[in-house]
Amino acid sequence: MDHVENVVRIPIGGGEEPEPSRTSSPPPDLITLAAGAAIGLVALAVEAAVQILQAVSATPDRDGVQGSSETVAMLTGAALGFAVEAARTAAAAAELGRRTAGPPTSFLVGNVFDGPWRAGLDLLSRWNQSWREERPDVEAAANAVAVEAVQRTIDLVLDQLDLTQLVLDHVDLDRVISSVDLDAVVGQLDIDRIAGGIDLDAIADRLDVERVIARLDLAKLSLEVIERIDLPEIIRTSTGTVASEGVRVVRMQTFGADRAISGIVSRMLGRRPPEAPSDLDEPTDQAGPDRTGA
Amino acid sequence: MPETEPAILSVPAEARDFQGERAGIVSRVIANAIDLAILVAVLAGVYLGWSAFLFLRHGSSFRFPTVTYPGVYLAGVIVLTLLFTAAWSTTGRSYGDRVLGLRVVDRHGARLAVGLAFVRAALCVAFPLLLFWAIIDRRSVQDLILRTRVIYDWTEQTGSDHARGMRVDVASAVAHEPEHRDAESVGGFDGER
Repeated sequence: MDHVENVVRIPIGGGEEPEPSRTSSPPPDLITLAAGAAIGLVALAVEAAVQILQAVSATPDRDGVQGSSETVAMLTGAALGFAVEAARTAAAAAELGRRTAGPPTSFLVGNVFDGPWRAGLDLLSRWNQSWREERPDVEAAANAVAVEAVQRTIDLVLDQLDLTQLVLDHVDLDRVISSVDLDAVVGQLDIDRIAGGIDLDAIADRLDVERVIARLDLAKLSLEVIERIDLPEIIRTSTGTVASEGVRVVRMQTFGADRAISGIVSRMLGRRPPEAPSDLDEPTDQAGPDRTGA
Repeated sequence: MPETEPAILSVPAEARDFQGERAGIVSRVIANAIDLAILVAVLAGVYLGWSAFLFLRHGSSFRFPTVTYPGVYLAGVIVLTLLFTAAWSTTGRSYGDRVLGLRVVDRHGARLAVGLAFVRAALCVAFPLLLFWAIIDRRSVQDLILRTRVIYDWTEQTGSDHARGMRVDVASAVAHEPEHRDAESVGGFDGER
């Protein structure tokens, strides 16, 4: 509404009318604002200080203290109000002075101090220019210095700390490890390349093979190996020098027949049924005298 | 007696257990039958050889020599005795024994001496039926008299190094018995050594 009113009134009433209305309620200028802010800050600080003092004195319920604190608050408020009034008066006086001294000052500045002013501006501009030119180098140097300083500081700090112990004390390593996908890590390893980097010859050179062999019972081992792979059977089947398969069958069958007949005879004669034990017993009976005789 | 192990390894696994045992009657009869067949072949060869000699000698007047039963019997006895003596005193086995995997050894388990082999051969040829005492005792009467034995022995040693080689060269592994099987023969080797 106000905006619309202004638009209507400017062509009708002339240019003079709105100006006084604007200046009659001028927006608080910079000085006034700064003064108000400073006073506000001081007021807040004083208020806080008073509250802290009350809290520290720790006897808020006593009547005397209560009265004195009210007195302090009243005095503080009065002082602040006075300060506000003073600031306002000072601002008004300054405004008056500026209006009075404005034209001659601007004349002086515009004519008398124009040369030095421009020279100063040029100087500042040159300084600014040179700063812009130097800026990358200066920044780089500053960066280097900062990095170095930080580095040294960190080293100094780390020297004072037992990081391993800190990690052991404060880090749940099991949880960390369980969150790591070890399969993926292993999958990324090039095992062939690692194996290729190992000098097996050098390792083999360091082995004392002679000593290893000396600890083996080669004779017994060979017998066991021959037994396992049935080497005689291989030789028999490959060369056929010894009993052929047919002869083996005949021998086994006759042996079976021998045993059967011995069993029958033993049963008929009422001897112990299996002939094998008797076969073992008899020779030992005979062997004794024979051996002594020999 | 671990040095006997390699020798026994040359025997099929299923036959190792009874190596060195006394042979039964079936094996011995079959072995003798084979030897008898060989005797017939030898006699036939001798007859043919003698006939060829006579043919070369007499030419057109040649006639096959007459064969009489006593003559054949006598020749058979002599040839068989010589064959057995030679076999038992050298390899310890006749051809029939070899086929059946048998060996004749003395009371020490060693190869028979020539004299003993001859006596045993003569007794066997003269009284073949005494072999059948082995049905009862696994020893023929000849074995009882001469204290010899016929054993299963499938290992392959030639007779000359059989007995001697067993004692001298154990590494050549020519033992013919498993170490635990026949106490008599093992003791015999030790006694002779």
